[in-house]
Formats: sequence, structure tokens, C-alpha cells
Amino acid sequence: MWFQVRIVLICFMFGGVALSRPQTATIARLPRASRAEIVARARAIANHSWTCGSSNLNASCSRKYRSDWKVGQRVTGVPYRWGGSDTPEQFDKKLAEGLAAGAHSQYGILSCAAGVDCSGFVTQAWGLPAGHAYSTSNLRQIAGKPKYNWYTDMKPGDVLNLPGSHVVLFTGYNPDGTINVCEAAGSKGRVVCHAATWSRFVKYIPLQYKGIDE
Amino acid sequence: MLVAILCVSICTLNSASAPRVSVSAAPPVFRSGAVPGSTVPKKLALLVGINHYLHEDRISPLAGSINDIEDMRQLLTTKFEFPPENVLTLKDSEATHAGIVAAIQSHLIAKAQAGDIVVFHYSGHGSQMRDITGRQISGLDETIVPYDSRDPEGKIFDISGAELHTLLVQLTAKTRNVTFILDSCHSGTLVRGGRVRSIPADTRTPPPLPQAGSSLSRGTTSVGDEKLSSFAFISAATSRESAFEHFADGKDHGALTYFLTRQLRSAGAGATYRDVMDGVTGNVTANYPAQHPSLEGIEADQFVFGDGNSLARTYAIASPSVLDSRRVTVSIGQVQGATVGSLYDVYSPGTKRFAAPEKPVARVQLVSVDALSSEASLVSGTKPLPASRAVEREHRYGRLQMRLLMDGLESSPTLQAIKTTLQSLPFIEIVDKASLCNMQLKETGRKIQTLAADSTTLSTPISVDDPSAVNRVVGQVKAWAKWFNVLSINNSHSDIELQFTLQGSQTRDPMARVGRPDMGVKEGEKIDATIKNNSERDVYIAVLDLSSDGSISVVYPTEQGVKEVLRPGMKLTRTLTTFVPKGRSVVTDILKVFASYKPIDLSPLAQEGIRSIGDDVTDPLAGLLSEATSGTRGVSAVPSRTIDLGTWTTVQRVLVVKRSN
Repeated sequence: MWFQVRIVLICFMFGGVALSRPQTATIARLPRASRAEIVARARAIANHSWTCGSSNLNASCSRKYRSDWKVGQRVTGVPYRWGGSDTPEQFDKKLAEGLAAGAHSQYGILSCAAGVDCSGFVTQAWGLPAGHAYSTSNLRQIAGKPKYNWYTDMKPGDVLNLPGSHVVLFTGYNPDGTINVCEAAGSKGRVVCHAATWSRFVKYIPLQYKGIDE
Repeated sequence: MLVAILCVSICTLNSASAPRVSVSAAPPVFRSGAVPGSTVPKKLALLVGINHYLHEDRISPLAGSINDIEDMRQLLTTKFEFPPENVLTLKDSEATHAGIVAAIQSHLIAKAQAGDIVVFHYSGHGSQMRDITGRQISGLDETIVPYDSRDPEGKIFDISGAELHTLLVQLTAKTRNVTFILDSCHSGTLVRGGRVRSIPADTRTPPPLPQAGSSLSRGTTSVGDEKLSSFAFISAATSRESAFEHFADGKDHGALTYFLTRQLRSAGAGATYRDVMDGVTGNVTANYPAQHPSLEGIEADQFVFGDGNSLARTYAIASPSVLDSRRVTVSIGQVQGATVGSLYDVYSPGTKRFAAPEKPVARVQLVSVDALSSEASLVSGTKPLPASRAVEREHRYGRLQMRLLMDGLESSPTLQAIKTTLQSLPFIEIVDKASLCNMQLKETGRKIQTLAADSTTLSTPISVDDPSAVNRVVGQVKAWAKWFNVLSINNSHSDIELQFTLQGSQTRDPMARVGRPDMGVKEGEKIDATIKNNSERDVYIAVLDLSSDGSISVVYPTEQGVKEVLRPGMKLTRTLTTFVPKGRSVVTDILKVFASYKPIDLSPLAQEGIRSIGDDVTDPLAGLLSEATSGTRGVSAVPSRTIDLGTWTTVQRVLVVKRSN
């Protein structure tokens, strides 16, 4: 019902710095998303269940590939694939086509594998179309760094980003001082939502998606 | 005064907030002129920047604050010729609570003299804390966060808006030429009272505020104090928004400070705050759509960091019409008193003086007047460039004026001086009969009283011994004129069908009792305001709250620049929480809905309260409202022959809120 002011933003494939010029007159339209929608999308990816088939254990384009999974294993969460940005639907389709379920960075970006990496997951949660226009290095083109106190003022849908390394989606604070995050975690092999301590996020910066619909 | 709490599906993630909207969108009427004054004012600046906080496990670091104050310091000491020794910077550990307050007192308040130019810049975190003044509806006051705040022992607090306000008032007593720049989150209402925001705040009860210094005039600390209206208050974001850090030139900056310093560096001679802030707000919001810097306080067309008396004549923006290539769109409408037939001289963009040797490029005549803009035809000259500046030369009087009776004019030099000033305003007509007036000015007991037509008091009486009495009364009259003009905008011929209903949680139909002794609702009662589009086309919706204290606020949409559309058959419901301001027992609000086939931006209409009188005076609007709502009040603002009546409409409802006990 609400008229949405579409903000047009520069989307260089790689860059690393926010431009100082206004970004409204440039190329891409940034989809609008409410915080509830972002969190719901993130949880849907984290809660997506799939079963690993025998054909999904191998990557046809990589000899050294080793799968995290076993045949018949029921897994919750779209698997981690470095350079990947598959939606759950795209992942299921690729899985059915016999592509490998997930791939870590040590194998390079594998076109013969399916899954999503940390920035692919976050941008998908924000509602950006599939593809990998934004990495942890240039997320700041589409997300601003708020001046708030992130120990108290983050809002669900914001992210914690270590440029060039990793990004997690913030979903809430816990009374015990931990925070809830969702992330495509290489260490867990898939997208998961869990509690985390602040000590993990030293040198991270908070970012807020510029297309947020408050 | 009414507070709207927005309850939409995503409100669990948003802060509930009041509908107050700062007047950051450029109002269509401008001022410009020369800087008079024969003395050289002293220039003082205090720049505070905090990246790293003492209790870093509680307050996250920032990256751009020190860069901000370095940029600002460099700018002030070069282009704006602030003596370096007069620019005091407090960085990180220097910027403790005590340190900041002491520096404001010793470096600014103690040194400033009448006419001096003072700049205070803060770049760091902003937050909230428990309000101890009783003025904040939310119980929370907005704050800036000093280096040592939020200590585990609970001894050091943020610097609250109330504390800053007190210091500002003291500064006002010394010089009115003060620019406050707050590059922090939620700074939008910091120096004049904050609003609801649902972030975790410092919920400890802070100590009582320090008493103001002996130089502080009593009775000048109320929110909306007119002295503060002479300040330039530049905030990074509205009270509900986050400010952002901007990475550019290889380092982080506050987005506001980055674009503000860039804009100031490129500003030409005679740049006004509006010249600068138009660019700043555009750049910041273009890069960070959720951040809306604003300029409040002073007339926006004073010179940047110049003296406070540099106002000259009014102008409007004129640009080639997008509707008709032969016409010119002038950014002045009914609300500003524009009338069909009036003649304007159009000058080139950027013109500051509208007299010889400057020559107009064209003369135009208004041929149609809408609520906020007009279309004009070219009478002579050439088609103007976009963003040209138009000055009214001949006013065609219609029925648009607020008609003002000045009672006892002959015996009151103050009233005579007020009349001289008011005569130049197109939307005010001085009349000599009480039966013709909408408003009155009268000198009684050496005080100028601003009265409604029925002689009830509208604004706080002002002593004729006050050196600024003329300006203050003129300010009151102008603000009330705008209020009445906005109230009077209506269009009964529109083909837009809009249904607007109010329903209370305890009162099924608050409207049913209007005009009866038991009319109104008790404070705290929730009111559902529902607008339904019964037309066959999409309409854009905006809602104003015209309160009986003279304030005008945008209730909906609450985000500046956002244009909300209501589809055919759809309903829009907003839940409003009512309250009665401290010191009063009853308050009347008019909720006025504007609907149009085109987007509407009502933010230029917003204004703060004009009065701060208590219940010793009967609510003056009771009578006015009944007249206004029944269509008998004589300040019609619709010259019917020139407006496309089918494209817009208004609906309004009255809400009386009474204190519970």
C-alpha cells in the first residue's frame, strides 16, 4: 500500500569505498525491504531443509573437492559455497541437477557447486537479486555505517561486517549480553542462526542496508 | 498538542514517535540581503569529537568524529576567518561530561558578547536518558554521549537535551548568533526536547540539572522559546533516525559534517544557511536514504555564520513549468498568501539583491495558485532558468489575507511599529473594524496582546519594554496567520472522495460530541484515525496536526520526503495517543487530511508552538474551531477560478483532549 521511494545506487562490482557524490542518479534500483522481511528471509534460508544425495558429494569441476556431508544426510540451512548466492529454490534446483552441496574457499569459486556465502546470504536477505555484485569489501556501497552504539542500538536486519573477510546478519539482543546473528558460516558449512558473543566481532563495523523500509 | 504513535505491521521494529517534523524541507519563501552592522563581531568555536569512549565495552567506537572536527576547525580558521586561538577542540578523553559543559561555559558563554558569532559542533554518539524535566512525553530525553559516560559506577551521565538547552539559553542571553551542529544519532530535537524512540537508553535517574547562571532570564527556558528560534540548529538526523559515517577521501567522516564542510568550502560570498543546507540535505539523504539532516531555529536565509540581522526581502523560487512550456512555476502558494494576478520580477539563480544594479530577467503574473505553488505566465523578458528567484512586485489582493485589527493604534508607538512591519507582508491585511478581523493586537497594561477575533488570548502577551517586542509580536502574527491559512485551505468541489473517521478506545465517536459540554476525550485515550479512499484513483495522503498552541506538525507521513499513496478502496489507520501538555487542562487539535492526485509535501508548513500560556486563559480555539469547521470563518484561501478543484481535497476533524483529573 505504501508508496516506496526507490533509491538508485551505484553498484560497481568491486570498489570498497562509498562515493562522496550523491548516489541517486546512478544505475541500479535498490529493492526496499522491511526489517521483518529481511529477518524472515534470513530465517527461511537458515531453516531450509535438504537431503544430500550421492551426486551432491562430488564437484565435477574440482578434483580436490571434499564434501561436508554424507549421503542421505538431512541438513537444515542452505550450505556454504564461497562466491555463491543461490536462493533456497535455486539451491534445490541445482541439488536436483547433481551439483555439489556447498564448497569452501579452499576450492575456489566452483560453478559446479550450489550454496551461498556470507555476503551472498546477507544481500539475499536484504532482497537483492541473485548474483554476487557485492562482497564483504564493497557492502558499504549499499549499506551505511550508522553512528549508533552497536552494543545497544542495532536493529534486526543490520549487519556486522569485517571488510574483506566476513559479514553476519544481526537479528537481536539477548538478556545475557550475547546477540543473535544469522550467517553463512564456512565453519558450520551452511547458513545458521545462533547466539554469539561480542568478542567475536572485534574490528567489525555495523552496516545498515540503504534500502531499509523503516 | 497531540502525539501520534504509528502502529503499522513493522512497528515492533520501529520506535514509536511523535509526529513532529522539522522544517528541513525548503519552504518556498526565502530571504536574502546584505549584512549590515558596523562592528566586527568576535568569532568563537567549540568543536567536540569522540571516536573512542572510556567504557569501550559499553559504547562502541566511531571512526570519523575526530576527522569531523579537524575538517571543521580547518574550515573555520581559514575560509571563515575564526582566529585559531578562538577555536577550542575537545577530542576523545578531553571530551568528558564535565569537560564539555565547562568548555561551553568558559569558552562560549563567558567570552561571548552581543553580536559575536558562536559555533558549537559535536560529533559522536547520541542516545537517550530518563527525562527529569517532565517535558518529554516518552519520559526520555535525547542526549549527546560524552567520553566518560555510562560508567559502571553509575556516576557519569550523558549530556541531556535539557542540559544543553539550559546552556543554550545562557548563550542566548549573550549573543543570538549561535550555530549548533550536532552530528550524532537522533539529534533532531536535541536542544528543544526529544521524542519517543524505542532504543535501549540510559534508564538511570540522572542528577538534577544545574541551575542556570544568574544571567539567565527567568521564564525563557520553555520548549519553543523564541530566543532559541534565532539559533541555527543543524542536526544530522531526525529524532528517530541514525546518523551515518561516510567513507570518502580515504577516511571516515560523519556524513553530515562531510557534506556540510564541503558545501561550506564551495559556498560563495553571501551564502545563506538555506543555500548550504539544500546541498547538504540532498547529498546526505541521497547517500543515506534513512538520514535526514535538518536546519531549524533561525530563518534559513540568514548568512552562514553571519550576524543575525542580515535578513532582507522575501523571494520565491521560479522555474520553467513542467506542465506548460510557456509558463513558470513559482514556489509560493496559498499558504504563503500568493494570489492570482500578482506580479513577480524574476532574477537569475543565486541573486542576492533584488534591486538595481541587478536586473530581472523576466516579469511573470500568477495565473493559478495551488496550496504550495503557483503557475505564472510570462509578461515580459525571457524564460527564466531553473531555480531562478522571484520577488513580488505587485500584489493582487483577494480574500487570502489574515485580517488584523490593531486596537489603540494611535496611542501605541509599539503597535505603530508593528503595523509598519506587517504592512509589507502579503498575507496580512490591516483592517479597522472588529467585525472584519480574524485576529487582533491590543496594548493593555504596557503589554501587546495577540487575540483571536473573539478576544481570547492566542499568544503570550509581550511587554512593550522588551527591545525585541516588535519582532516578537510580528513573529507571533506571522505564525498564527500561517496557522489560520493552513486551517482554511479546503476544496468542497473535489471529485476525490475521502472518508476520515476518528474512533476512541473509550469513546466510540469523538466527533459526536463536538460543540457539547462533554465534548472531547480524556488524555491517554487511544484514538484510531482512519482514512479511506472512496475514489477510483490512487491518492497521495498527508495529515497535519494543527494544535491550539499554534503548532503545525506533519502527522503522516512521518518520514520527510516519503510520499504515501492510498489505493482505491483502501484504508489507512493510524493510532494516536492523546496527551495534554504540562500546565494545561484541555487542548484542541485539528487533524487535517490532504489528499491529492499528486505527491504532497507538507513539511514546509510545520511550525513550533506559538504560545506557552496556561489555563488561566480559556482555550481560545473553542470558538474558532466551531467556526472554522462549519466553514464560516472568513479566511478563505481558495481562489476558485484558478485551481483545478478536482485534483485535491482536504478533510479535517477536531479533537479536544482533557486532562483526566
